[in-house]
Amino acid sequence: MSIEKRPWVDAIAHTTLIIGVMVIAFPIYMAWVASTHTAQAMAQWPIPLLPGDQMFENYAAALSGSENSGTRGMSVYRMLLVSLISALTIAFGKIIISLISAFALVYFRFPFRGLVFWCIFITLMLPVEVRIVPTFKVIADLGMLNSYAGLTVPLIASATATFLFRQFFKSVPNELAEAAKVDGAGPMRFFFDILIPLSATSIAALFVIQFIYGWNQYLWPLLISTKEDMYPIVVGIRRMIPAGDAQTEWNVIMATAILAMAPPLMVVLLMQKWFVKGLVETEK
Amino acid sequence: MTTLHFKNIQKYYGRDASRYHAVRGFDAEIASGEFVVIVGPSGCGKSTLLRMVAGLEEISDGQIIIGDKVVNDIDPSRRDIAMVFQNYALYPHMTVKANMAYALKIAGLKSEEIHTRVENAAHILGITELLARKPRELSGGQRQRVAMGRAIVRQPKVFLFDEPLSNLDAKLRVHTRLEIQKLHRRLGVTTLFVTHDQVEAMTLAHRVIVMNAGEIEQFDTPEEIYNKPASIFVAGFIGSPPMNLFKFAPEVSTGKILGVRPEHFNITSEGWPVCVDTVELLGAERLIHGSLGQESIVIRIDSQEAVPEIGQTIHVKPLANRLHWFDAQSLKRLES
Repeated sequence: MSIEKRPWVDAIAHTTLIIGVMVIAFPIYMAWVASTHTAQAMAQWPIPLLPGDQMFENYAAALSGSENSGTRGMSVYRMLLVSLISALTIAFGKIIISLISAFALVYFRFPFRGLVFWCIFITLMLPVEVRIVPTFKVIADLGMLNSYAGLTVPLIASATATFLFRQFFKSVPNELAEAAKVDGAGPMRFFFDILIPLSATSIAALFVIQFIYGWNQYLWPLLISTKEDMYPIVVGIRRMIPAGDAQTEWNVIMATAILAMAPPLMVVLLMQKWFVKGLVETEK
Repeated sequence: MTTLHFKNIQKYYGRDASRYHAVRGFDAEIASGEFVVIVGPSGCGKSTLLRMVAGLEEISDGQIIIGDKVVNDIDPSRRDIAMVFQNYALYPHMTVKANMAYALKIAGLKSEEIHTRVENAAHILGITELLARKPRELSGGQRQRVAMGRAIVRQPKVFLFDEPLSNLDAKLRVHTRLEIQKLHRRLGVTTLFVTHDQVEAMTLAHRVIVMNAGEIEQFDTPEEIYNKPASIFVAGFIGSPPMNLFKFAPEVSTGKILGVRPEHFNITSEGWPVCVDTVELLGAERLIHGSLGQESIVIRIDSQEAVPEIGQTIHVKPLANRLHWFDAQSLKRLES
């Protein structure tokens, strides 16, 4: 497979790519620029395109969350914490549950295994958004409104992750399980000593995906959290924009938005190393 | 030292009418310290048998006795066996040392004891400098050694080998064959070795079990199996190229089949007329493929001898004391 060197093809390709990057990156750049100006500067026309000098003030204001700071009394610290706890619980919960269910599906023969498999499969057709009203009713009746359990438990069950692990476990040579059996390892020992270490790469990949999934939850927390101290940051930002004539403090809101973007970005950057490691050191 | 005893082993796959009878009444006694190779074509039940000894496959009927214990219902790890798998089945995320120590760790041995045993086994196999590596950093031959090391450290009463050489290249296979032989001489452990390769069977075994369709065709020393095959199947399976089998050759009466090994012919001025189809040079010898009437024939001659031309008719005579007679009905050997 060889591609001829033609300079103008390169030029077109690069221009296209650069335009693409700009389309994606510009709003984020604008959010950052907005977070470095005063509210007045952001309310005038034309809005500034270059960073201002109010960055530290704005971020301090966003984080402090005092009544007159532009966050309408909501603490960004608190919201970040709620988001972090929920996203981590969802990501780990999904991984643990999927690992265990995939282990059962692949390595054990039990009655109605096929049925169980199809039940899990069918839940793919029923994401939270589809079953949101009955789920809300159940959670409300259980008294789990405004709790971390309410925020996370309904989102934990994951057919996708179960399938991913199932496929991975199926690709693990059967001889390994047999060798472990001859070596005297029981099923759980095999699970912890051999399967989980072998799945490390898949677990890392899933963690990234599920953490971001959990972090970006909007609709469900919007219903389940009625108190401000249980708002995750994604919901919180929306609540910062006042409904009436009050001035919108775009600078602080944008600072909050940038803060909200940071953790998923960090997770991706940190875990990327793991991805690469996993790809280079392919296990046989 | 431990004997291995099979009593009328049966293995069925599936249930009721559609069940598949994989092993049919396997009876054998393997002496203490003996090296027995089970050889047969794929699907003959040889691996199933080995896996039943290991406890990876249930025994439908009959008994397997290791030493004086019936092991039918004993957990694989408590059977005092160690198995070397075809693809080695090394744990990819563990170092060589951890791989070898894993069974001992589970058995709850002290770490000094584990260390000594692993060091010893590594020394015997010459893999001491590989202990810190991971399986993926090893060559096929090295992985094979580690797999054997993992079996040795457990100091089992019976070694089970499931086609352990089939993933090695030809040269390494010959080398490892010798190593296994040496190892067995050194450790003297009762060994059951499964292969489809007759050369491995002939070179390694004290006694060979030739299996076909779930049954024992012959259980004897390599010499006996080669010189006195008990059936047409054994005659055709052992030896390369296989024994010539004639139904219609001169001197063969109906109801009988005559077997002659390719090397047991003399080219003479008179005798059976053979039309030469192809001649293959193997180095030290030549194979002449031809036809005798409607039957095909292979003759092995020294490569120094005169080469017949293709299309030419030559005359051959089988060595009179090297004829094998079989019954055309039962396909069994007619004792001579």
